[in-house]
Amino acid sequence: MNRRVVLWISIAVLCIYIGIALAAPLIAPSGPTAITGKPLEPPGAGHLFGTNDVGQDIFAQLVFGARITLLFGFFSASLSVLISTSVGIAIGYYGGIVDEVVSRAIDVFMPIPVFPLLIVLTTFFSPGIIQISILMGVLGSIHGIRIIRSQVLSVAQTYFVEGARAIGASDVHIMSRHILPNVMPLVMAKFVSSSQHLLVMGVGLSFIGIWDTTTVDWGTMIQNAYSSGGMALGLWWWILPPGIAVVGISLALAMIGYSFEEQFNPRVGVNRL
Amino acid sequence: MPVISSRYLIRRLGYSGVSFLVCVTLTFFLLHLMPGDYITNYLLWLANKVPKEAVDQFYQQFGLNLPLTDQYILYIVNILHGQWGYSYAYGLPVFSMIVEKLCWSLVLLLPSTVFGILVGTAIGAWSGWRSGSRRDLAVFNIMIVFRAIPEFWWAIMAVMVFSFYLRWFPLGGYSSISILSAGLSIPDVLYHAILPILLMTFFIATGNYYVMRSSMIEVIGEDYITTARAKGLDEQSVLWRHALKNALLPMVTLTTFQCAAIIMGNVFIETVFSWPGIGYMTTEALRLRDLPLLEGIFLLDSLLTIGAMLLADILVTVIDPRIRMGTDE
Amino acid sequence: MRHYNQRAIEGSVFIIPVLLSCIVAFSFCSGCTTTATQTPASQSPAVSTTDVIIPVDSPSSITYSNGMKKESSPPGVYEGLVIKAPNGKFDPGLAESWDVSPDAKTWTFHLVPDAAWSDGVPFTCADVKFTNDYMKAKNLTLGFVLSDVQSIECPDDHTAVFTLKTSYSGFLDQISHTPGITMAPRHIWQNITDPLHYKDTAFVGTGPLLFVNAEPGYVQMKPNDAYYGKVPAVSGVVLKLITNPDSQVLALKNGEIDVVSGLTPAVAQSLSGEEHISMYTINNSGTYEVAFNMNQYPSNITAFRQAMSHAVDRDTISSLMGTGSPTDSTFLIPALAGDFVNPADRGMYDYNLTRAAEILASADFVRNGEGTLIGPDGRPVTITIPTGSEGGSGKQNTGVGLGGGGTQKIIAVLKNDWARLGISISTVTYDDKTRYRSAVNANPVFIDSFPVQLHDDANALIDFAVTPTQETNYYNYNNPEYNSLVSQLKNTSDPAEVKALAYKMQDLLARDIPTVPVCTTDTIVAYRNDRFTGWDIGPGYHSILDPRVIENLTPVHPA
Repeated sequence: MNRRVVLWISIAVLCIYIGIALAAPLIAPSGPTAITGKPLEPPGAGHLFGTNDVGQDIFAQLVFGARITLLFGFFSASLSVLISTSVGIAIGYYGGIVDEVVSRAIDVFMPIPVFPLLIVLTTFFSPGIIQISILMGVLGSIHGIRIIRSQVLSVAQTYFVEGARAIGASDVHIMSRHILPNVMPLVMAKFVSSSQHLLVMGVGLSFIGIWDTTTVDWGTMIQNAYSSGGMALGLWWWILPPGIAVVGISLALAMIGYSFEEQFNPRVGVNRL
Repeated sequence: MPVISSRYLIRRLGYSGVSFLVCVTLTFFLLHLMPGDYITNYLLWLANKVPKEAVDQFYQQFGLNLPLTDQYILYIVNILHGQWGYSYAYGLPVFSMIVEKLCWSLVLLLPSTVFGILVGTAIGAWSGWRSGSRRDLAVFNIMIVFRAIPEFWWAIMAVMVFSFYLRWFPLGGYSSISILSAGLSIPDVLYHAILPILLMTFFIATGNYYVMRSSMIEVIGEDYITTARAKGLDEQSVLWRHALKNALLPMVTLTTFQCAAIIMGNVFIETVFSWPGIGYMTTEALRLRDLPLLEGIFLLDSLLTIGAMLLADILVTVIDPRIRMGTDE
Repeated sequence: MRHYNQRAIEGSVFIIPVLLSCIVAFSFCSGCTTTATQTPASQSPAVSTTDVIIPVDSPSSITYSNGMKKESSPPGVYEGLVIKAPNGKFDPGLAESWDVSPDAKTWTFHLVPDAAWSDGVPFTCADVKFTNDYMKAKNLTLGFVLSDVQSIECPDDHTAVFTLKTSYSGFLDQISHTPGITMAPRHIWQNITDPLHYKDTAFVGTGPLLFVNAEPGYVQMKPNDAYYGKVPAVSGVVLKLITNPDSQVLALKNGEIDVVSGLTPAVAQSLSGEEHISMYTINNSGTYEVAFNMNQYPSNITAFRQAMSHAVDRDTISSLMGTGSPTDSTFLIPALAGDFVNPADRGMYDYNLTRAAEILASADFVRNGEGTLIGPDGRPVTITIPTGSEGGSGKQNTGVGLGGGGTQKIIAVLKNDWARLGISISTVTYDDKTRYRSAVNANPVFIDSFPVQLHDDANALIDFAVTPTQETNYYNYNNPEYNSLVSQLKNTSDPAEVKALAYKMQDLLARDIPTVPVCTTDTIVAYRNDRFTGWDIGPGYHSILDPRVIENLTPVHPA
């Protein structure tokens, strides 16, 4: 299968997901938490995927859950890329003391284990999705800063930047008009891969129960099914839909991300957040 | 053999030391400032009320009513004496608790990391060498799919299919009941560990595969490969004597970090497979606000990570004289 | 030059991580194998078919340090003086009978004459006195249970006289549950200067079970043949760690374990056709109430509370729970509290949304054009209900019974009903108990699920009081009339007087409505009927690990 075809299919899938998430109230008007049927009903009339142990429609939960899961993934990825790009460009461009200080600060933060750190930090705020996605975005940006920085370094030393400076262009102007477009491919690739990574991590975190377990998102759906008889009773319609939904978008994002990478072939490194 | 200047080494070590100290300080204050405390949670769970004298008594006993800076100094002094403290919840020495749980996590993580690295690197090298071919693309796509599926989903599916329905593997836990009378039986533990190890190996391998493949592709495009071929060297020689060795360079950093990451355990796998290792213990300690235990875990992890960073930097400097860490760009 | 480096690269990538990991692994595994076994394998008997295998769901339940930390000692090994039974009664434990002075200040316990510690030393009053003195001297947390005790005297080896600091008619409640206290052997602990860090391997207690061995994921115990009471008929007890509830059910089907507690009704339903599996319920093992924080608006308005007491559809909620029954009293659970419940105060909070709306309207709560309820302060009435993780409080009663979902079901129903009154509800979850408690204090309504042992006799009503030692209560209910009734209650031990006082207190509760009880839940237990019978010991408070249950088991196929 042609890489192009795959790319277009992935983009289509992504659009479908986003579309469903946006149109959730139209698709499932009763909302995710309404009790609309008897508990643990298999798929049938009115309930495309059956009901869960309280009697809520799984399809409605899936559709509304998409909003939260997608929101978490894209929001934290955006934040992560925003921070790492701006900081990376700044320190790569200015170099010197600024670079030293920030790089050393990052070196100090990197050994602290991310996962427990995340949990510790969440205790300081009320356990909300926005807070956790902000935290994930910030923590995730740390690795990205280095990568952007090294890309910026190679650009910052080129002659045309020197030339621009000689003409008297301001720093901000140089950074935004010359450096940023050059690192943009890398940034975009990172955005897509961060989205995928963070989205999946978000589902994992919610599976473990890091935020309000009454929120309806795919992670809590899997957790509920997993620990309330979904497996012992063989209720495939309860466990499988959220998981397959996650796999679907994760695959789509991964395909898009790899296509970007192939196109722009950035400096290879640990392709983390 | 190019020797690293001792000045560089000392500077690097000193820097690591400072980094470690800052890490320890940060985590100490962060943990102690966390809202909620062990004794209140404990009393609420145990007795559904919080008698003030019990709380005060606990604080006094564990020095929690001292100013934070005093506590910090005491903590550092204790650490330097090798005294890591006692867990609030279990009353057992923190270090031995961590070691024991870590040991069990290692049973899963060690084989999977080692095999994952080896398998991933090997397949990645092959794939990069043959990049563009049909086989490479097939493997590449498979790897992408593997990696895109979240780890815990793999775990749940594996448990559902292989343990619940097919009954090939046990449902979880370390070992079967025979451990009580016959002691630890290696085959038994292995039987329980196979599924999680396999899963983690695949997952780790995909990461290494991707980096190795990219690295290999980049190396192949380099001039010296063209030169080698122009010299008339056969493909095998080009691969083994030139391409491979240079492509492995980025892997050094990656693998040292992967090994250092072993210590944190893998919470998802441990939860799904009921394998109470250090990942599980960390989440439990966090929930309970068991400060000494948490401090110990963070401490050990920082230590190992900084050690890994140091090692990686030194190795890379030794290996590639083109790179000189510590000097600008 | 390059050749050298390349060899180094090749070597380092493969050898270094392997070497690193091996070093790390070997140094740790040496620690691992030594801690893995506590007794030499040859001394530990094999698990036989007449050993009952019971699952536990958290590693901390089977990690034991010593008996002074209650939650981490093997079940059935240590005992207290009395055991709580329903209807405000108590069963004998290490005390076979007891008397109390009329002013409820002096309690005399007549100890079992032939009880002995598992190492043969006889159990005497000296041990009781020692437990009290030692806990206080060593500042152990559990000592707070005995904080009311002024002194303990031993007129003879088998009589213990407790003198309390103030009158306390509910003293037996205090020492028997939540958490209660167990007796510790003087002859062992008097030599231990650092109880907090002491790791016990013998667990010398007076109870019907003896600790044998603990391995990662398993604990083995055997009956105490020298026990003064009924020696369990099983040949041993093995606790097995299975964290996932579904895995427990499957292990039961496989025959790997003998019992599972805390099944959801749906799972129980699916097991009902299995050949070797029977089930029973422990009735009224959990309870829920919709509680008001009377310091917060709008719960500080009596009319509001009165109105909302008619807006709790306990029948629907109870049927959603799948087990248990609705509670129609003011607080005490009728099935457990017997005649402590004032019959005149039952059925007062009937579900009637029209009535609720009327009361609200008469108290200046108005519905605006969109149907939103506007309160006397001019703003829409929105209520945030904090929820906390339920796992912890459930486990101490009867296994997983109270856990997850109960509160959610109540909130789901309340959301619908209260929306019809124009009130919107939202929830926030707090995993940390301290944060949860402060959130409760900051909001007007919360869903509570106290242990049922706190709902079954007159002493339970003390929970609503504000006294010198109890500065406030969960409901922030501070009624001087009620408080004075409470102190009278504490000072008397005359049953008739206690009951009369309890009735008066319930009248006050019905008038002031600090809380609206919703329903009780049961715990469903499934067991393999081809292995052991006798799991069901009747109503009351017990978990499947309760010694009374274990004592009642008989193997179906004796060895």
